[in-house]
Amino acid sequence: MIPLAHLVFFASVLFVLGALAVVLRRNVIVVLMGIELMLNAVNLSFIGFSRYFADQAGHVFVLMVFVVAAVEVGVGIAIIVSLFKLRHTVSIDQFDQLRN
Amino acid sequence: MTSSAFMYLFLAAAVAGGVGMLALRHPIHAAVSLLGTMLCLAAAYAMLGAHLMAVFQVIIYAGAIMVLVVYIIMLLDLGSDDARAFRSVKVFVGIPAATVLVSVLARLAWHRAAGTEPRPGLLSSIGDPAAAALPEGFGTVASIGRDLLGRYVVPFEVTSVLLLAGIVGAVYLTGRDSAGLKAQGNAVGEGKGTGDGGQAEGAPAGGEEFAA
Repeated sequence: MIPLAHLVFFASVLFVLGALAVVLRRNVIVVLMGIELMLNAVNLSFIGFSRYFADQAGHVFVLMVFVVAAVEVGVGIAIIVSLFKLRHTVSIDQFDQLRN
Repeated sequence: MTSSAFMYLFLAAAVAGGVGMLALRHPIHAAVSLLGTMLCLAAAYAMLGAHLMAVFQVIIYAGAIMVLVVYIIMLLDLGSDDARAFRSVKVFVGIPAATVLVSVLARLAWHRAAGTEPRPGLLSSIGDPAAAALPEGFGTVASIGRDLLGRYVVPFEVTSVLLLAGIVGAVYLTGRDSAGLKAQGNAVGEGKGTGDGGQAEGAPAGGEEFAA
């Protein structure tokens, strides 16, 4: 069994990778995948703490995060499809309708 | 110990998948890389005693969410229009900021887990909470189901409302015509409008084809 701090370290690395994908990538779908990666990192720390304190509450909340992720992807992809129908691109630089 | 070696292996593979998702240009490569991350995380969950969550990770994330993402990439027929992703000025702000963020988070987590106050530069005195002994049936379907419908029944019901809101939102967002489609869509007319009925009408359409 590896130390809890190592698990949390890996979880934070995954979270930062997801955040970097959100900030750096220009493709809306990759941005959505970055959000998924951040949710996965949170899940990893939930499961790790749940194991170390032998408490199942973490598992239950991982289940909640699964639901949130599924809903988020469903709505996010609906938004992406709508934007693609409107602008025929998925580059995030093109979506500036709200600017002016 | 073999099991902790595998744990590090899977976690490192998960991080490698995350790096691949960040760095690969083509969205489908990024999606497959993220899929690898999710499968490695499922293995890590199983080794942490969360067997049900590992199964759900494979079914929901790898099986449903990533298939949806890959399907959308295929449907929209996206090339790698992300070519100038890393030439942006934001890289020079984002990477240092992310480095600071990850080091601060890791440092806080490290000391939090060790139960010590953060001190500059000393990693040698890190303790580690001993993992508690697992009770009988930890992480099984039966005990999680008992928790889910007992202690946590209110959050469980709230997630069902959330799912319903998500369904309504997705149907509303994709169901309406955008302005661009409306102009050219009148010629196509009925076929587009009754997209939901399309599957049910598959059989008669096939019959017509045979008749023709």
